[in-house]
Amino acid sequence: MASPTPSAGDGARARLAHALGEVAGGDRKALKTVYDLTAAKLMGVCLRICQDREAAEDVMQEVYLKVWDRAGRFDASRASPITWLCTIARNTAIDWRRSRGLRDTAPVEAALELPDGRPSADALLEAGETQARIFDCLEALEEKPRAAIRAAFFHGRSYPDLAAAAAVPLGTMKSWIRRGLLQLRGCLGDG
Amino acid sequence: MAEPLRPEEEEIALAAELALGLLEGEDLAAARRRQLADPAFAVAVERWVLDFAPLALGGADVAAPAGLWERIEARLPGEAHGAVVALRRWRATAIATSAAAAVLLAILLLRPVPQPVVLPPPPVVVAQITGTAGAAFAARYDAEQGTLHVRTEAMPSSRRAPELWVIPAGGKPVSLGLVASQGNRDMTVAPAHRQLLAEGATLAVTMEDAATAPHAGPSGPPVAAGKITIL
Repeated sequence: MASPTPSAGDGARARLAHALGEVAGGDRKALKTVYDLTAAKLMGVCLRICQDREAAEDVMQEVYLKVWDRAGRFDASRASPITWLCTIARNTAIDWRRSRGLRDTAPVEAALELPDGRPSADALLEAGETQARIFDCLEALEEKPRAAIRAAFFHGRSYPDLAAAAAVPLGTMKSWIRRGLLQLRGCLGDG
Repeated sequence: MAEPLRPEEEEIALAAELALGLLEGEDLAAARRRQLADPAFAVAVERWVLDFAPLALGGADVAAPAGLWERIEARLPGEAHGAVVALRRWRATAIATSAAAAVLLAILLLRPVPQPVVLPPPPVVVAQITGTAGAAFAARYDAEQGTLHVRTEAMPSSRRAPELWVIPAGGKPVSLGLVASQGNRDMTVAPAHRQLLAEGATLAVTMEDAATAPHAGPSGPPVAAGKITIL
């Protein structure tokens, strides 16, 4: 996962992994370090999913309280720290959307309008450069499965929800997405 | 309509559906049960989660508002004393050990109230997460009877006996007694301990002297640990 030569990304990743280890031991200062290193990134994630600044701030509090509780479960051999933190942020933000019944009624294509920025080179180094593949692999899908998978990831939309929004039978939506997912797995490799 | 998926494709797609949150209702419940019961499937789900995660990094960074850290800090549990720090370390070790040695223990708390979740038929093993080697236990709690059914799947050979602990979030380990060195054991959980079997608590197994069990505290690092999951 590490890039071949030492880089700023490697350093940041190592600092973050080390801080998470200290958080697991109950070090509040280490949690502040994790916060300082990641708050802007995770705020971006939360805001993107919640689409509401106040909600994103509330979600951010939950995210770092979860990090405090769960840091002992972080395993650097299985995930990069920023990927692990992103997953917590994404899931917490999605939970917030769902708890508010915010399955937005915009058409599925709206997910395409989300800024499709790629992470900066530094962010990718931190996350492990191989993981950038998800962007290329998703790009290679046909438009319908791609839009639906993005809507699931960013809006927490379920099969019935996606099928209703696209006005297609549930079976059709499942078939689109499942074929897309298999194509993705083929592109990403077996890990 | 496209032809049906092959079984291995079915598993890959189902793992991704669970990772993305596409499923609802009984489909979701069935996939979660499988995630608990089928280690290979659980690994496939985790792989998808980690593969998708970088998508979230695609947006711009946004400065967190001033004062947000102070709001978080105010909600942290009170300043830890030495004993609490030691316990957090112990829990962290319990969990890290489980990840490193891939020794895990899972418990299902069966809620007495009707749930949209359809529980499996009376199971031999309801929940099990195992890895490559070492100790593996599965536990299921029957809240109505106050009975914990623990099945020992695998255990390192030892002259000592496996003792089961419940560690509430932020609390200290409480012994639930010895579990079987192999096979099943049904344990009646003392009424005072039943409320400890809640989501977020950790179950752990340490190797202890059988003659003096149950103990006030563990004497060594856990050989298995896992979080309680409520379905």
